[in-house]
Amino acid sequence: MKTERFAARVVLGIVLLVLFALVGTAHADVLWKDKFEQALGRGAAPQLVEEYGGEYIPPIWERMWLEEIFTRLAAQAERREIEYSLSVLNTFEQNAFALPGGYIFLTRGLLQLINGDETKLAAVLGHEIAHVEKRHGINAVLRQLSLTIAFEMGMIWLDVLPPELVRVASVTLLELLKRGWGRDAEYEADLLGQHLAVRAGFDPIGAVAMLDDLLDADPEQMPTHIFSSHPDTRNRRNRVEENIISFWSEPEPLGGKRQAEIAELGRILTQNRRTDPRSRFALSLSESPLDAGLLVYDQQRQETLVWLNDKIVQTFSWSPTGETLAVVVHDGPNSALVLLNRHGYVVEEWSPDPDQGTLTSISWSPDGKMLALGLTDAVVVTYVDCPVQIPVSGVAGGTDPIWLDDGLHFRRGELWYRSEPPTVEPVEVSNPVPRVLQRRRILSPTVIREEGSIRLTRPSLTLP
Amino acid sequence: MKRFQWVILFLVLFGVPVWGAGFRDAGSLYSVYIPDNWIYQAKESSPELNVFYGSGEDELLYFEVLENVLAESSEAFATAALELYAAPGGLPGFELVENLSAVEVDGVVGARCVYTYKDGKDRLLWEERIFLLLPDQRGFSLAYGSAGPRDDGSSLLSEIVRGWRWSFEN
Repeated sequence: MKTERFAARVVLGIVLLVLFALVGTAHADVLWKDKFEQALGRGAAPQLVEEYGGEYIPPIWERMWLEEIFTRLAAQAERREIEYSLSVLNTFEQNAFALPGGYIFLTRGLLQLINGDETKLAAVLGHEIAHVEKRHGINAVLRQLSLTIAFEMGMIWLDVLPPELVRVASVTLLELLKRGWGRDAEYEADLLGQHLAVRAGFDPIGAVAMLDDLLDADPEQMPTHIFSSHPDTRNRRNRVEENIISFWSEPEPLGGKRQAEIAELGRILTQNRRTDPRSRFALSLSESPLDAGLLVYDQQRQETLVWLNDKIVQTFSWSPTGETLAVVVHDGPNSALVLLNRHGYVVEEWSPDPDQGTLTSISWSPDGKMLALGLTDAVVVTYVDCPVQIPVSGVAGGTDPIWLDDGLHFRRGELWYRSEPPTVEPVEVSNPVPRVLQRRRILSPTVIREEGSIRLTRPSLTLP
Repeated sequence: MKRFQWVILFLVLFGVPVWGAGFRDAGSLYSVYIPDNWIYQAKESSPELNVFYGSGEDELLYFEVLENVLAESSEAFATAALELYAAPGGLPGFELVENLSAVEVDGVVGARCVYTYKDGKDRLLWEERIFLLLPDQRGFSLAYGSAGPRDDGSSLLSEIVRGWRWSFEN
């Protein structure tokens, strides 16, 4: 009996499908699919929220920041029929989801991992919006339920969305969501998401930094499916790193007058960058190029120190804020970039691959977040907080980077070229709300009186 | 009258406090006299926010300038902010103790109120606040936070605004 009814439904479905194919147009196809997509997302969203601990409402200031970034990204979406919405799920699992129809979800745990970094948040939200833009969810469900869909298509075409179909499809959708939309879909969402983020005025480095964070994250907090469903995170990270160069402008030769100016500007900038912006340390290279170390006179303590006393220093440059000192060191034919904090401690060290040649010069970006590295015949850009290599000079090569406000300049033979990084717009919340602050507790030491003397213990770790 | 008597008379007439120390913000938007025993907190402050700690355990005083404020008046700015403080995700246990009332800060009409809320340890905190709408879509807030009102019931912000000077023409 059941088999007969099933067969009858299949026949009816096929008849309707043929009918639909005869009279339908591509436009009609898009319409029913969009309508079904909306219904599917709307139906699945409450189940997803319930499964992940309900909705979390972040504090107003964080919420406004989130909404501002989300609005900027959603404005870049091309599917005008989708009304994107963002919710935060009350779970400390680190994850994000996109349901068909534009329902984007972010977990509280991921929000914590992002820790106020707008470039990372833009990367995550861009990735999820990209899933909707590319219809990854709805297509996966349609593939999974092809027979049922074929049967129901006629009714959809007749402008009826059977609730049973939506319910069954929602269950399937949530199952598929946990497994992911597939390797190719993830790669596609990474790249499109990065593109959306750049168009919305965010730095494309966010995608790399976010994937680095996921690689470093505590596996206990990671949902198993994020690794099983998402293609190899290392691979994804490398792909988004390689994609960053596509957001830089093609290097263009400078006009005649500017050609003459640029070398002089570079010389002045190099000199300026050798002066501590906070006027405490006076740095100089050793008199002999064979002597190790960087001579440092601390004007506050009035003493002379030697930083990097086991390395031959070739050149150095303070970041614009004076937070970080970039130093190029040589050890025979090998060279390396060493980043020191303000007090002379090494925080990062990087050596070029042998096929990249020797590191010869450095130039900070005006905001101090990036460094241009001049190699034997290439200029690559790296970020202070994220180890990437962006080959700005391209295959034609280049050297002597000079980073000015109007872009990164470098020399190819006798000619100077300029390339511009993607434009980054700061996040400015419209209609902000004044903050409500509370006084930070100062941990005070405990005073112990001992036979006429007073002893102070370490501050108590428990707050009063 | 002797010269010092003229000075005293001038100070009384023009309301410039004779206590405290002068403070000018980094953005040169305003200057103010800060009462004694209030210590500037450089680590808590930024170009948009200036924070001072008082002698009481929970006492703090802070001034904040905000950009992109689209409200039409100080009262509208204050109302929108208070609605958000009271809404989910706002201040836990928020209660308005004194309704909004008009107050003048060096020629700019603002809206003053007092409210309480609970901190993360469920302790009740008390705050007096003045919201102001400044030219060029800027909002401004003066706040005095404490564990409760001052013992004599006086308003610290009323004292503060007496020595307040904007650097713009109004």
